[in-house]
Amino acid sequence: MQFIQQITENKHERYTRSHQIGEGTFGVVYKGLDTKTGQTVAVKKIKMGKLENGISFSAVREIKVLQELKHPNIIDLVDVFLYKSNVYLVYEYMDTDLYEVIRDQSLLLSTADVKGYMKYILEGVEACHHNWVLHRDLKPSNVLVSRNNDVKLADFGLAKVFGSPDKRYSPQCITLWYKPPELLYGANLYGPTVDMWSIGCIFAELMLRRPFLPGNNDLDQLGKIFQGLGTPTDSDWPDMRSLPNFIEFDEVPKPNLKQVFTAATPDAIDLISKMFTFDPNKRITAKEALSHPYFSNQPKPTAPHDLPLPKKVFETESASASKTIVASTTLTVPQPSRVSSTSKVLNFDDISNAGDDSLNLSTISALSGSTLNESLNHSHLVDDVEVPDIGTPFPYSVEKRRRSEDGDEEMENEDNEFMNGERPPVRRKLAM
Amino acid sequence: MPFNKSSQYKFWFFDKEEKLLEIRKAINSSATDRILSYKSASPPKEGKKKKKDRVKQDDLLSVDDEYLILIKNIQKASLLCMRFNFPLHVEASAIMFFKRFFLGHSIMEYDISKIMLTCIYISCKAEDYYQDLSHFLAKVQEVTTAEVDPKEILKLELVVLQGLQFHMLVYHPYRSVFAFVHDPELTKSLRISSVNEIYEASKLIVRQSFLTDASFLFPPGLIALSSLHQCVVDDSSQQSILRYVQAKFGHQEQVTNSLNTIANMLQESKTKMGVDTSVIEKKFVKLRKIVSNQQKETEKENNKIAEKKEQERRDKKTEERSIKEEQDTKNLLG
Repeated sequence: MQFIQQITENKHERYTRSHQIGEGTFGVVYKGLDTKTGQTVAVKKIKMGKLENGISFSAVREIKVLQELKHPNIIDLVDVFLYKSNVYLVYEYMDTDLYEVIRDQSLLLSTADVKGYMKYILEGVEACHHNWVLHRDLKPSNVLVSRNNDVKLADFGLAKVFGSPDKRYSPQCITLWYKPPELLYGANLYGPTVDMWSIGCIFAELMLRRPFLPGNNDLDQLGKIFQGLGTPTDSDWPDMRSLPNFIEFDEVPKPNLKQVFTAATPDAIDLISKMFTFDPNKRITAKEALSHPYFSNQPKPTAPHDLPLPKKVFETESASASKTIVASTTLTVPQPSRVSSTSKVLNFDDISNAGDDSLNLSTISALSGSTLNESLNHSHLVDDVEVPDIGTPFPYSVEKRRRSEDGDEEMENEDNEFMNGERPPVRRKLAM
Repeated sequence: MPFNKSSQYKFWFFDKEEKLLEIRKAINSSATDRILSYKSASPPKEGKKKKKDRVKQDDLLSVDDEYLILIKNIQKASLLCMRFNFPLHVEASAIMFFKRFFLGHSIMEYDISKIMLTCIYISCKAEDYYQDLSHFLAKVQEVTTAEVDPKEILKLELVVLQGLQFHMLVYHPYRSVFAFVHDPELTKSLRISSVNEIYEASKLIVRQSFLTDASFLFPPGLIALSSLHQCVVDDSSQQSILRYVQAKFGHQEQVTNSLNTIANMLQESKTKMGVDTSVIEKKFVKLRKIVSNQQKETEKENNKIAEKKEQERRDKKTEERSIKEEQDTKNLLG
């Protein structure tokens, strides 16, 4: 009776847990081990706490979609289980994300590397769209990369199964900088090409090594888009005037993208301009993009195992042993995952100078000026119902600061029995 | 997602009706064992109470009893969703969740109405038809006599999700019916006055199919075709549906057989719905009273044990900490 075996299996005994590796949009993430397969996993404990509506809508979406989607370029949800009134999601372990790759100045991304990353991302997105799933939150930090250089899409908390003819969707999705103009204009009927605009932004970011269109709010974002790509004409995009929040902008001529992406080959320019097509109906699809000559022309896309990775991926083990290293090297600017963010990039030296103890959100916002606070208040993700926590998405662009000792221990003890794992090292400082 | 790659196919799809019966028997007997073997932790004070707390073999439900009560409740769930004016996909998923949960659990051990409400609430989340729990429960209060504490739903939400193995994508026949009636290839050869007419009629049959095990045994597309097949009355239209099936899917014989089997299952369910269950229901109510008392008692016991453990753990922690601090101070001074 396989059925009965499966429903009665005690899954929490199967996974062991070690230290916390990050905090995602709706849960704390631990590194762990699947004792059945020997595979390293990431275990996410979903925040339940005082939620008066039960398990969060984003968690439901993520679980629903990832239970079905299995593809080499999509994060594998290995397991989901309940233990002591907490829901745990078990994922395959990924070392870092594309955000880290892009901002690691010591990494050189060749044309072939960019092509490789783009190819694997597009394959993941194509699999989503083929299976009627819109991701709706594509951005570098949601593209995970592992030590064996697999590239996988993650964070399906905003994903949606589409295809029902009568459904209206909320335009409140996708992180601002990666949001297509039709959503900024309030479109509530849209399709897979919204994801393609985001991919265009990621493509641009891979080439420029900085966000291409970093707006501060919806209006500013539209301004950035039109500055960067020129204003659309009625023949470019016949339906734009009928969108709910349409606003006319002063005309900007279309720039020559060759001058923006100076190192790009003509086929790359052609592909990115097709991703940045204003009319969503004319925008290139994931499938079309994959058969674009860009991918078949020389140089060939870098094979997954040759993609460059940040050095620190290989240092994490030793780094986690030393608290100071962890604090100064892996704490990244909390690029608010689903809120508009400041375009000002935080200087890393400032953070490490700030010292271990004082590293917290308030320091960061003080360092980055008022813009961050503004942006934190200005959430762009009020998707249908809820405002998700401001935080970085799974797995961990931000190495979470340990909380005060008491709070910390409370948290650890709650599921100490769970997965008979070792206790994470408590980083106590001796009071002097 | 292709149906044969879905969790529904991999986990909730069976090749034989007998397998379902086998599972139901196993679930029923393990629940029976648990209930009969229950022993109160607190010693009974008076003889009177003791008698009341005991479940006798006769008080328990058989597999068939359970099934009859279940399908009556499936119908209730359908009605509830209709009264709420929920979209069809919310209704379909809610019912599927409800059926899946009680395939793996016995109705003797759970509050069936609360599980039903929880399934509907989860379906609202899974089908992007989200509403606040308080809002949802207000609606429930409007249309039912149920008195529900939101905390209970929150607790059951996790229990149900686990019972569903966290599978929340449901393939349901409503959608397939919609697709079929909008395929001119099919509808052009049917003798019907309007597409809408046949759509509405098939929807009703799909709703009836919820009361059968068809969803565990046939892909939603087949259930949808069977519904269409059953609502056209003239021979020529029925023939055109079969021809359409042939052209589209091949293996006509197998498909025709399945269509018939589904139609038979529907007939059977109608008979079952007609059975007078008042005696079984009375038995069920009585049994549930005792079992839920037992469960409450057990929970109290467990909580006590957990609390005790927690206290011990805390004490140990405090002790450890004071030792550590002492040492730290020593080290510092030394």
